[in-house]
Amino acid sequence: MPRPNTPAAPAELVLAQQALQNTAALLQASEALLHTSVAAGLAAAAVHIASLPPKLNTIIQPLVAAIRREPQGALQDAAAAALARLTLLCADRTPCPNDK
Amino acid sequence: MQAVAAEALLPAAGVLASPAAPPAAQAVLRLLWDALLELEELSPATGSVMALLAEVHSSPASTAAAAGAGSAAAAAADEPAGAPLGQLVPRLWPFLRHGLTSVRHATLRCLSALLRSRPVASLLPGDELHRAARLLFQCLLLEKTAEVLAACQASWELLVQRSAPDALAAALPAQPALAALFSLAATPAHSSLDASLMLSVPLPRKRAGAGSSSKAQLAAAARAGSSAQLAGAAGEQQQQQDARQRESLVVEADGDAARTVRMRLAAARALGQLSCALGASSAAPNPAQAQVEALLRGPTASGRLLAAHVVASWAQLLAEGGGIGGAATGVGAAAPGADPSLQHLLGVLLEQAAVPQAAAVQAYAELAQLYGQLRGQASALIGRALQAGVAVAMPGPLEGLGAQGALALAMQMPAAGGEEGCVRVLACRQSVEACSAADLQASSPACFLSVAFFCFWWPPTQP
Repeated sequence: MPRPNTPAAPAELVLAQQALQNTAALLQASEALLHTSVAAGLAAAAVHIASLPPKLNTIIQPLVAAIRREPQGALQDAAAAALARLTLLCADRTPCPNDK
Repeated sequence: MQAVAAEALLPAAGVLASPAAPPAAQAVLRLLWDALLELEELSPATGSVMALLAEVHSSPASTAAAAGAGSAAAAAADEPAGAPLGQLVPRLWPFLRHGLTSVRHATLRCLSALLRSRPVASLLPGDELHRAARLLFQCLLLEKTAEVLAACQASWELLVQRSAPDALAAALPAQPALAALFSLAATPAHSSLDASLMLSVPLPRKRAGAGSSSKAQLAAAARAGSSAQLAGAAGEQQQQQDARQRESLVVEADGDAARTVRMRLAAARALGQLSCALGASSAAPNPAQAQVEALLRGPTASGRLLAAHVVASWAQLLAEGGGIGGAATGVGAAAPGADPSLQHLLGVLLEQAAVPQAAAVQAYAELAQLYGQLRGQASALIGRALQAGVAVAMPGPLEGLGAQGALALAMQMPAAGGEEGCVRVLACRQSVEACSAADLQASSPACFLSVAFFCFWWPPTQP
């Protein structure tokens, strides 16, 4: 709804604006979808090599994100399995991040 | 008739394979293998023949006969139709992509039974190992039935497990065979598998007298006496065949994303098994390493996803003690991190994982079309805005415009005015701290004006 004190935009301008907003929303959703799968895949691969870096943020976060948001069950399962493996690998680590 | 006869013999499959079988059993086996040289008019008949062959070769009697190396029984088991099995097995290839699920399943069961009971070197001599690997891998990519896909995975596992690593490395050189496997498996959704990278084995000719509607069409055209009509009918047939072929090669043509993921993971597991087996060959560095690294650094999300899962499978197999290839490849249980190829790939994985999302997603080829559309629409919007006399501040150059920049641009239009729009603009920008949360909650006209002013004043930056 245009504000009363704002001049109303021509119909073509409104249509172009809506088209751009729709495409931007679709792009954001597609980006998030692809990135969730790819980032979790990269993290899972690193976990299975079992040679972890000192900082685990770049590994834990994508796995948790995939468990929360991945729409494909098979990929979600893979992320969950990797997170379980990571927890086992971290059991002997000091400080141990498992409680977090 | 053939189907009924083959099905009637199914309970006697064990007897047919037994070394003590009567001489007529050899004749039956010869007939069965020869039946694969010609297609029956009724396709299901081929399924019955294939099912009987699978039963015969998976029966304990056949396996035991094959195991008795050097004996007369072993010789008979290896030449069931008067010819070495190495010459007979290629007759199975066309049926791996047969139109009927039952035929494909029976073919894979037959191949698995043979791979389980006999050495690969005698079963797939010369170039046949290369063909077997590529055709089976293509089945993994194209198969839509879960049951047949599982059978295909079992066959692939046996093939990789029971082949000598050096023979595998020789059969699948990095270029072009290994690269073709990785490239096909990384094909993004809604794209077609590259037909030039695929092996095709045509189905055998139809048995004489086995009519078909297409043949009837050609015959009718021939009777009409017009060569143009004849050529037209043949051309139309070819086009229809080509169209069917093209349609079947498109990944996710049916829109079933779950099936695409299943295919991708099956292919990744297969390539992980292959990479693990190649690690035991004398080829150094492992030829799979370069292929995986190229995909991890490549432009498609599908390729990166595939490569990551290949590494995961490969590392899991090494950790499990060589997994499927332990016995044949001599790979013992080892820390995956000790493998030089995996060590190198870990570096690449961590490097890619550290790339921020905004930069990573812009590189995905799958989104290129959507980015093009977004930038085209942004350009059109700016044109309309200028025509309407609306001032627009571009959030960075158009070529680098992303989703957030596009939303910020759209919000500058008068139709999107109002507090809600301004809040959304602010949410997109890192400078949101400039407006206090209290002002936003108040939704006062003063806040609106200050935010609107900010929107226009805000200098262009990268999205």
